[in-house]
This record gives sequence, structure tokens and C-alpha cells, in this order.
Amino acid sequence: MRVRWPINPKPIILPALVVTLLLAVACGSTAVQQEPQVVEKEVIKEVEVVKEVEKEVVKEVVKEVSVTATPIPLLKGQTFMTPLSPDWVAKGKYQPIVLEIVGRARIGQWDTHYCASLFSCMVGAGPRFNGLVTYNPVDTAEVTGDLAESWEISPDGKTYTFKLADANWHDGTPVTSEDIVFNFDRITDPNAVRSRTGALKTFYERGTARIIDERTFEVPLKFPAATFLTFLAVDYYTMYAKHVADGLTQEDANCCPENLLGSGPWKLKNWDRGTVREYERNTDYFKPDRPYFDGLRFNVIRDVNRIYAALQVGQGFITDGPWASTYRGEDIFRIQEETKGRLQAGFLKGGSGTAFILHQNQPPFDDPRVRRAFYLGLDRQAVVDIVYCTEAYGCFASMGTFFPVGTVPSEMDMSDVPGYRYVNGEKDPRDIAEAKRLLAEAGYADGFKADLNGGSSITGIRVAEVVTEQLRRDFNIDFTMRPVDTATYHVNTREGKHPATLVGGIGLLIRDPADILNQVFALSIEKNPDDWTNPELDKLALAQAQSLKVEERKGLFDDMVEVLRGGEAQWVPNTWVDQGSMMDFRIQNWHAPTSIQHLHKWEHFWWDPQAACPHKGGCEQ
Amino acid sequence: MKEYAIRRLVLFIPTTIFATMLVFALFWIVPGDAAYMILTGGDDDAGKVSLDQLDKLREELGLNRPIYTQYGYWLWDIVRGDLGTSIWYRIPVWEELESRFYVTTQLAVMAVLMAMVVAIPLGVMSAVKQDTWGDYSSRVFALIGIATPTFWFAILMVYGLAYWFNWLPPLGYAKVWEEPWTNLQQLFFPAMALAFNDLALTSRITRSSMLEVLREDYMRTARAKGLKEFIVVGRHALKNALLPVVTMSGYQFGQALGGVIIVESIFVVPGMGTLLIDSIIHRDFIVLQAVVLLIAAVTLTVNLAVDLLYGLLDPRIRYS
Repeated sequence: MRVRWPINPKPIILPALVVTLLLAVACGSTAVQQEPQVVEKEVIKEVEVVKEVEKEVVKEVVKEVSVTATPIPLLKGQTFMTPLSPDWVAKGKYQPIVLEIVGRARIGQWDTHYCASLFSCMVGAGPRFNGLVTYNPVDTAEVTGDLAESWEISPDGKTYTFKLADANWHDGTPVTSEDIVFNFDRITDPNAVRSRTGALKTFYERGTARIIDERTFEVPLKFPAATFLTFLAVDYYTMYAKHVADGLTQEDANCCPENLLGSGPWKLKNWDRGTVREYERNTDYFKPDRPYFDGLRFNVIRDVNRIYAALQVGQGFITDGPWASTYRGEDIFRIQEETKGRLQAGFLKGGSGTAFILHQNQPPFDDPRVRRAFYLGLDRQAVVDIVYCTEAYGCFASMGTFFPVGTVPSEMDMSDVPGYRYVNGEKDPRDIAEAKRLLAEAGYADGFKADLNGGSSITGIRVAEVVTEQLRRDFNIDFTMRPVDTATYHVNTREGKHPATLVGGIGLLIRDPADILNQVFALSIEKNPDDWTNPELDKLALAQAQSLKVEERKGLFDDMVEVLRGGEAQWVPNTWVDQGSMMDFRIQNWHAPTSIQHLHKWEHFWWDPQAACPHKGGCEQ
Repeated sequence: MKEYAIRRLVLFIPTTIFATMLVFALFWIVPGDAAYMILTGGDDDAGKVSLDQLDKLREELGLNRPIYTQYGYWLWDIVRGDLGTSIWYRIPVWEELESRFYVTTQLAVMAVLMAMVVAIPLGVMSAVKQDTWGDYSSRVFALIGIATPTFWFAILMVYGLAYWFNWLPPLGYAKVWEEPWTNLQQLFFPAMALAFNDLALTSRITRSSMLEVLREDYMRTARAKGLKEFIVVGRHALKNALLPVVTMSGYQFGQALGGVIIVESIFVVPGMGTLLIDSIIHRDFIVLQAVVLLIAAVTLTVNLAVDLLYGLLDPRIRYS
């Protein structure tokens, strides 16, 4: 049978061919036309003015860095008031816009008492809730009231009496003492998973809080604790409405945002899993004039280069977190340059760390001398120089210490500390010699072969490459890196599949050594898979937890450092790494927090269209 | 033909079951633990996860049961029409999969259509104008397309759009029947990235198939009859040369469904590809199985449709 064309195909096929050819030609010609632009760009980079901008940027970074010493415990017998409208609130400018945010946080859990991660939980839940106390968004090391209007500490330092602000839940019902006490007891439920909020159990005995009236309640502590409020101010300690959260199964609390009611500055308007989260302004928010936008829109982008591209073309004005991600310093400074300062790079100094876990239940690290040799022989400065330093922008990491940067006096200056000493930029021969002696004593004079467990991030692999090369060169220790995905990494760490593990990122909850004790040296946790323990360290840890004297605590931490410098622990610090963010220069009042886990309410910043461009040549708009 | 179609449809069942069994088995060979991912939130930094909590959660999720028991439970749910509940999101899988399935299907269809719309004329032109500059250009273009990895081409597109036009496809996803223009902007470039490789391959196949047909005796007859060249090529040659191209398009559709994984990530398209990646990362085997099941079913259906289309294109083909 002959097939007849319904219409004459000639007028269709011929133009189609012509269009195709034209397209091919057009594509080619576009590429040719664009070439001069590339050349022009290279020329711009060589102009001195650009160098001046770089210098300016460095100054800005220094301003953003916020490092605290051990927090000063609040004095006993004193009342603390939180002004409902701090000075900066009046400077804020409301804009009837929805702020576009880009980042990689893909939310899977909504219960912040339960969840462990910023990117699967906190970044999404944060804007919806308040805590009882929080970190001051301007003076970011200071604890200030959130739902608490004021609090009083008893003379013995063991009882806190909180007075609540006049706030409402998102359904309009008032926030009461009963709600908050419910949350204290929910967080300390012994049968519940509390990955980030478990510290409260250390201070508070479940069921002991006492309601005084609708807006006043009392929280007795097990002992006068220096870090009770500093932990409580972390964003994971959010407060839920009791009438909604009471009786919820863990599954229901995690799965569906509507199952938990908050009082925060934003209400979740739309959640398209893995794609976008939209929030609308809580017009009934108890803090006057805040928040400063009509809405927030978090666009989820898993590829970091696509995040950069989205920022550059104006699809986003700030990174989610905004400091909580793994943006490389070099990348974000380059984008700052390319956008002529429209996008500003910001850094949280030493916000994250890398370290090694040595599995002490298997050879060769079952021998404490080998662990000490590793601790002494590791060239941390080489890792910093090679992986984290750039010619144009400086370094984005420092040598890893046991406790957070700047919190323990004896870790401020490491130049004479064994394992950290350098002579003319090279590792001190005394440390190398001592490490070799220890290895020889343990029967590993000729080195050994071992596998190294680690994640598959590019930076992590680069760190491993530097370390393995150095250990091979100096000690004939032949490490083979086994990069795996996150799920496998965790199982390998827990089960000690390989003798050593490179921990690619340890995030601090609070900028206090107690956090490291909690996360690294507690028993039966991933970072201490073989339950390493030291009676002296345990004694000192208990003493610091119960001490309210700043100097005494510092002394106790110094003593702990001495114990840990024995190098026999399962934990070998490697680096402290700065964490980067990007935001439009018109975003005002964002200050780097002391931890990436703080200030996820997004209530304290605003958009100023008249903001002065920090770039001399004028920012690209 | 009806019998043939029914027999092929019946064969779907063991083929699909085999595919899911294979994925299930592979998934359990790979180390990793869904319970661990839930407790750590999928981040490298696990916070303070206790091993007791981990064991408890594994028991709650039924992850400590033998693999065949877990597979059996999953299969029983499927038989009852239930794709299961996501381990990570704790919601019914279909709730999440439905919208993503439409997105990915649209993307795959667009990619195949784009590839065919450009490749067939290009292949025909290349064959008809054999050994001219047009043929050489087309062949070079095809070779570049075949040699270029899809993910790399997609990255280049994003880079090029951002660098030269300071523009990128809008973020998020707009439904085609609600905001067609936005939808087109969002999916045109990812579809093009997917289509580029297919386009090159299809144009090569069209060319070689056309060259073969153009040398047939009946072509000479057609010309001898005094038919216009356009009719000779379009009606006599192209129709006969299309069989391998149609076969190719079925294969390409299956390829596109699988290939979207990277392209969706690069272009931020919320389709099945990104869901698949998430399910692997989170070790959410319930979601993974559902996606595999769906992709297998769609691929088999498309291949069946292609087989049936042969009969229409070439009446000499008989199904038995």
C-alpha cells in the first residue's frame, strides 16, 4: 500500500534543514564572538586595582571572624533581662520581597530535638521555631533570651527561673510555661534519639522542672553548670507547642512539618522535597518589626558549582546556612572578584575540623606507642599549606588542636609543643626522631601498611593524599586511602573496618572545649568507636562541667590538654578549617556566629537597596 | 500481533522481578546502613550517635531481618499495589515518586523528540549530499556528539549560559499545563544536553541506513519513473531507512530515563534521577526499588511499542 503524505512535506523539511544549518552556524559564530570577552577578563585580573580589592576583602574577613574564649558563666544570684527590641532592630528595613536563597540542604527530618544534621534538618526547621534562649545575632558569642524575656540564677547556681515573653504559637495560642517544661522533658526522654540535644541530660533531671505560673517556671540543675545556657542556646533546642507535639510518634514528628508547631519568625508555606522550601512571614511574631522580608525561598541545589552559577546570575542572594557549607575559600573569593563585590565572601574561622580516629582494637594502633608516633609525626602544617592555602587569598585553615581555636590557653601558641614544632618550615627533627623511636620500639621500625577509611569529598581526598605521602616519606608508613560514600564511611568507622579513619568534618555545637569532650571522648559513640577512656581525663571533664569559675575551667582544660598530648587517645587532631559563605552586599546585619549550628531563624537581617558597595569601582548590579 | 503483544506483556513480570532482585541484591552487597544515615542526617559529621540507638532503629525499620525476608515483604507490598514507605522521608513512596515521574518522562520525551527532529534531517542531508562539505560537517558534528559525555556537555551549557548570557534556567519546576513558558525554559536545556549524544548517534544511523537504501534498485526505478528527487528521498528512501532509527529511539528513551540522573542534578530538575541519587545516598532501598521498577516498566513498554511499530512501518514484518 502506498503511503500518502497528508500534506506536501517539501515546505516543511527544507526549512527544517535550513534552520538546522543556521543553528549550527549560529552556535559557531557565538563562540567566536565571545572569545574576545575571555581575553578581556584575563586583562582585568592583571590590573592593580583588583589587587587592592583583594586586600580589602581580607580586612572584611578579619572583621567577620568571631572566635570566643571559653564562655564566661553567668553569675549566680543575678537576673538577666533581654530587651525585646535591641538597638539594631530600629536600623532594620522591611522590604516587601521574597529573598531567594540557594544551597544544598535537602531536608528529610523536622524534629530538631532528634536530628543530627544542619543540611537534613536544621536549615529547614530553624526559621519556624524559637528556642528558650539563643545567641545574640550581633554579639554572636553572647547568650540572650529568645522566648525567655528574663531569667534568674539562684545563689547556689543550681536553679534557673525563666520568665517568658508574650509570644504566640503559629496557631495563635499563647506560649506557656507548660509548653517549655514539656520541651525540657521531651528533649531528655531517655528512650529518644538526641543526637545534638543530648547534652541537656547532663544538666537536667527529667520531670523536675516546676511551673510557677503561665509565664514563669523553674529549672533545677543537677549541679551548677558552666555550659547549661550555652548548650541551650544552640538552635537544635527549639520549643514546640505542647498541644500539637504531645503524644507524637518520632516518625510523625520527623516526616511532616505540619506536625510540629513553632512560634518562629517564619511559617512554612510550601515544601517540595529536594527542590524548594518557601516560608512566609509570621505577621504575629512577638519580636517587633521582625522579620524584614515577606518571605524566604530556599532553592535546593546539590551541585556546588551550580550554586555558584546561580549566585552569579542572580538566582540567589545568599547561601543557605549561610556558613554551613563547604564552599572553598578560593572559589568564593574568585566569585567576589568576578561579581565586582556584589557577592561578598564571608568566613567562620575554624568552624569545622578534620582529625584521625585510630582504631585502638586492631594493629598497629592497638599499641599506644604507635598512636603517639602518629600524633607526633603528623605534618599538620603541610596539610594546611598544600590543601588550604592559596597564593592569592591566603590560608583557610590552621593546624588542628584538641579543643576549638582560641578556647584553651595552652593551645594558643603551639610553636614549642611536640608534634607541632617546625624548624625553617620543616617538621622539627626531634618529633620525627621520637616518632621513629616509638615505632621501632613497637616493632614497626620499617613502617607498616594499612588502609585509611575516609569520605569521598575532594578536599578529604586531598588531605589524605598529603598525609599518606608524608607518612610514607618520613616513616615508611604505607597508607592506602579508601574513599567511600557517607553511608559506607559511617559503617566502616563504627566497625573499624580499617585501622584508621580520616574524619572530614567535625562541626562544633558551641565554641567551648566541653563540646569536644561531649562529641569525641564520650563512650559508645562513633568518634570513639573502641571506647577509649582515661580516668584522669574523666575526672577533669567532670570537674570542668561543675565549675563556674572561668580561670578554674581554663586551668582544667589545660590539664586535659596535657593528658591528651600523651598522644595515646583515639583522636588525633589534624586541622581546623574555616567555613565560607556568600551573600549579596545589600544584605545587612549578618555576623559570623561562633558555630555554624547557630542563628538559623533568619530573623535579624535585612535588605538595604541603598547599601554602599564595598568595591571601589562600584558593584555589579 | 495481539498474541505477540500479550506474550510480551506477560514476559514483563519476570523481567521486572529479575531487575528488582538484581538491584536489591547489589544494594545489600554495598556497605552502608539506612539507620545510620537517618541518625546522622546523612552528613559526615555524625554528632553524637550512640550505637545502642543505632541498633534500636535498625530493629524498628526491620533492617536486621534477612535480605530475602525484606525482599519478600517488599514484593508482597508491590503485589498489593503498595510501593512502600520511604525509609528516609517516612512517607508513601508514590507520594514522592508521582510528580517526579512526570518530570522525568517529560524530559526524556523532549530529549528523544529533539534528537529525532534534528538528527533525521541531518542524517538524510548527509546521505543525499554524500562526500560534500555538508556531509563532512554533519559527520564531524556526529562524532563530537558521540564522543562528548552528557554530564560534561551539561556542565558546559550551564557555564556558557551563565558566562555569556548571565542567565540560567529558572530554579524549581513549573508544571507544563500551568506555566508552559517557564516549564520550557526549565527543561529545554537539560533536554538538549540529553539529546546531544542521541542526536549524533541517530544522525549517523540515519545516514548509513539512507546510504544503503539509496543504492537499492527500487530507488533507481523511482527515479526512472521521473519522480521528483524530494519524493524519491522522502517517500521511498526515508520510510525504508527509518526502521533502525525507530529501534534506536526506543533504546534512547530508556537511555534518557537512566541518563537523567546527572543532568537533573546539574540543571536542578526535580525528577526521578535526583530521587534515585538521594535514595542511594540515604540507602533508602524502598525508594530505590520503586524507581527501578518504574524505569524497568517504562523501558519495557516503550520497547514493546517500538516492536509493534515495526509492523506499521514495514508490513512484511510478521509477529509470531
